[in-house]
Amino acid sequence: MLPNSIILFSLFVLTSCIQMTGPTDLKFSSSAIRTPASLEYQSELQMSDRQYVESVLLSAFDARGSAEAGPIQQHVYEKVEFGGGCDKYEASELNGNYEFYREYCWTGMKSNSVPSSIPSRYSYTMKICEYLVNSPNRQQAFLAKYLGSATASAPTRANIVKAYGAYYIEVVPSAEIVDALMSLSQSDAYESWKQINLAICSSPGWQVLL
Amino acid sequence: MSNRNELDRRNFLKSLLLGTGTVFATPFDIYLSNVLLHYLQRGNALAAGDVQAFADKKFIHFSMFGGATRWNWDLPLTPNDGDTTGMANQMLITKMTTNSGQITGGSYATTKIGNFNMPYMWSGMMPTPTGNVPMALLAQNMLTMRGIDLQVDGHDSNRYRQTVPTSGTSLLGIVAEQGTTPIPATAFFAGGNFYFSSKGVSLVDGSGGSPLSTFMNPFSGGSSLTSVSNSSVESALDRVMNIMSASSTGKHKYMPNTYTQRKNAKDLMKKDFGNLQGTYDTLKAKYQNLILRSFTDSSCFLEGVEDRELRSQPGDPRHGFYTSAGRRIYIPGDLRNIADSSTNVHLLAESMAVAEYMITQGFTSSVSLATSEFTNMMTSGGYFEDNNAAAGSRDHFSMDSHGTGAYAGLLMQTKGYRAYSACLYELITKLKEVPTSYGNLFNQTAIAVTSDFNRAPRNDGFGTEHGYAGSSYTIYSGAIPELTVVGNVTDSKDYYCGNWHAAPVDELGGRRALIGNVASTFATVLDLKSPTPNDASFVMKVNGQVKSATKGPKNVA
Repeated sequence: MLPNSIILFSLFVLTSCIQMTGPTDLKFSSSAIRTPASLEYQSELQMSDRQYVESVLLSAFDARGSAEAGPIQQHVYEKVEFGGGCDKYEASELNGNYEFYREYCWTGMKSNSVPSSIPSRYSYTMKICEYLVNSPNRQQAFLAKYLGSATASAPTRANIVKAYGAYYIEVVPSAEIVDALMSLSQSDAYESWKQINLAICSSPGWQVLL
Repeated sequence: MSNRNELDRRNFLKSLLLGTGTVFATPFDIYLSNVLLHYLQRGNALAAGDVQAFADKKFIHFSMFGGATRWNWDLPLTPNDGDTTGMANQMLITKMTTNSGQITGGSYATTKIGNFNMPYMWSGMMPTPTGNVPMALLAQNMLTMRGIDLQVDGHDSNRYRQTVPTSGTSLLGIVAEQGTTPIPATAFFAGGNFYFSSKGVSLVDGSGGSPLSTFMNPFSGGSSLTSVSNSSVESALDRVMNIMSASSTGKHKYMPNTYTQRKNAKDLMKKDFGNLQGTYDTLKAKYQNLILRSFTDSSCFLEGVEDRELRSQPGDPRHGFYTSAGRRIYIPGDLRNIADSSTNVHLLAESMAVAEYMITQGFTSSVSLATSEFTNMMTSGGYFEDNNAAAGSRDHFSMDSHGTGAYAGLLMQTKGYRAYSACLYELITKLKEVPTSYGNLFNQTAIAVTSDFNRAPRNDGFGTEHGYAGSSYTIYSGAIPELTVVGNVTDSKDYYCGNWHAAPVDELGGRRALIGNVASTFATVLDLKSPTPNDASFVMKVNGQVKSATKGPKNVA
């Protein structure tokens, strides 16, 4: 057994180390506080709800009935951050059973929750988009649906426009956006499309209804 | 490392050790404390700078489920010198009289704080993580509105009306709508009907055993994403997002804000929140210790209420407690034994932990919380009114105290409200430690403690009824520079709906105060637009500080 003095010394050293390596970048000073940004967009922007976002993802990745449909539901459909309608009486009508399970109001969701734009909506989107493009089945399904082949070919301006339309329904991207997406091209075509798909999928714009 | 950090670290260490009852700091305690502090400070750093987390107004709402009795705590019945309660009522006591250990009666006693006479318990002490302090300190930034006519009876509807004064919006919602935090609206066992946002700001409900993990779930685990942590992929995507954002301006002027929010989300996802469950457990333990000491530490006991044996007189309903199951129970022996180390205020420590973390870390703007009955009261040897023996040695006592007698009620409310006060004071202390452009976080925060309604004392001394026609509402905020009491009352002689009925207030249009007046007052405190603009505010702002807009509280004959 070690002498108590050694244990005590070790703990003090450890404590000191933690103190030295602990966070030192506290920004709790008045000078760090900026003027509040206008939050009018929360009401002026019409955001898509959970039903819309889920359906776009299911369609883009041809994921209905697939193993990846579950994670899409968990990341989008069951999250109150996306808003959207639900039936809070569904369970009670049937003694706790759900005839239409997906109408259920998940925790925190109100029956008529209006969608809004808050950061957590986009973090969930980033997570599910990266999950889907990293799924070979879903990424290949995406390529097959929009580019005509599950085998990736080098990105072109024309097929980037098609891929863009998977999320931005019937919207043609500007030349600047196509250029930006083209810049994600790499030597490996499949990897190129993963990044392009991830960029479009995780961009917020398609979740705004204009 | 700045002096600020050193100070915070020392204070945290000190409060953690003393708050959990550890008087002597062992090296392991110090090690543990620094590890836990490390987690907390990491959160501070990310929220303050990245998402303007402290640029907005904050609202912390506590709902005491059941309809709490408040004339012992934050409802002053005789605020001005010369006021009388206007009633001779055996329930209406704040201090006991005893003779040879036997309770012989009680009186409505007060203590002077600032310009007002407050209920007697404000003369006592309350625990802090480092010792005891006068409870009067909590009153320094307190606004109490009396004489609010809720007009209708009912637990649920009136409970929700405290934050939802009119359909379609809520006080929690209007605060969330101006929020600059990543999760503008949060709730813990008080979501649902407490919250509406006409602008569609979603409420995230963290009810359950791991609320901090639930709240932070969207941003946790983000470091595993290549789009968040792989520098080349991340920078490539950021470049595309910037172009998309710039290009979106022509479609809608606010479209670029969505890209800013995506960036804020990504920045949060890069952070390590540490052991959120551990942080929650630590904070909960701190508040649990304050509750424990409020119930059992004799150094806090209130003279005239808890400082001597209170010999129970079984069979006298004034000594009886009302269980949550709706039965009156008698406890033999010294009534003070009813509260011991197992006694608790349901969800109080948990709610305080949630509030402290989510608000001081800058993660939310509006948090709705709930507490309810006194739990795990010692009832060993007790028996019910029908002479049936109590089933076990423990029972829960309801805030809906129809059958809690005068003496039993005073004892438990003194202990329970001391616990509430101690926890509120600690939470406020933590808010004051966060510097912001308003001076500190407390200055831009409103903490409201509400219940379903106030209660009315039954004249027989055997319990209380629903005082919905004479409710009250308390707000704590750094914007309130001194104890402020507003609202007029009159003795209605109607014990069921509130002895101290709401009485007309000239400055409110010559009519009785309604919940809309409370909402407008709340909005004034936080400089927000009232959801009920036709109902005047009890207060106004002068040089950024809350002042009464009425001629003071009146007891109308």
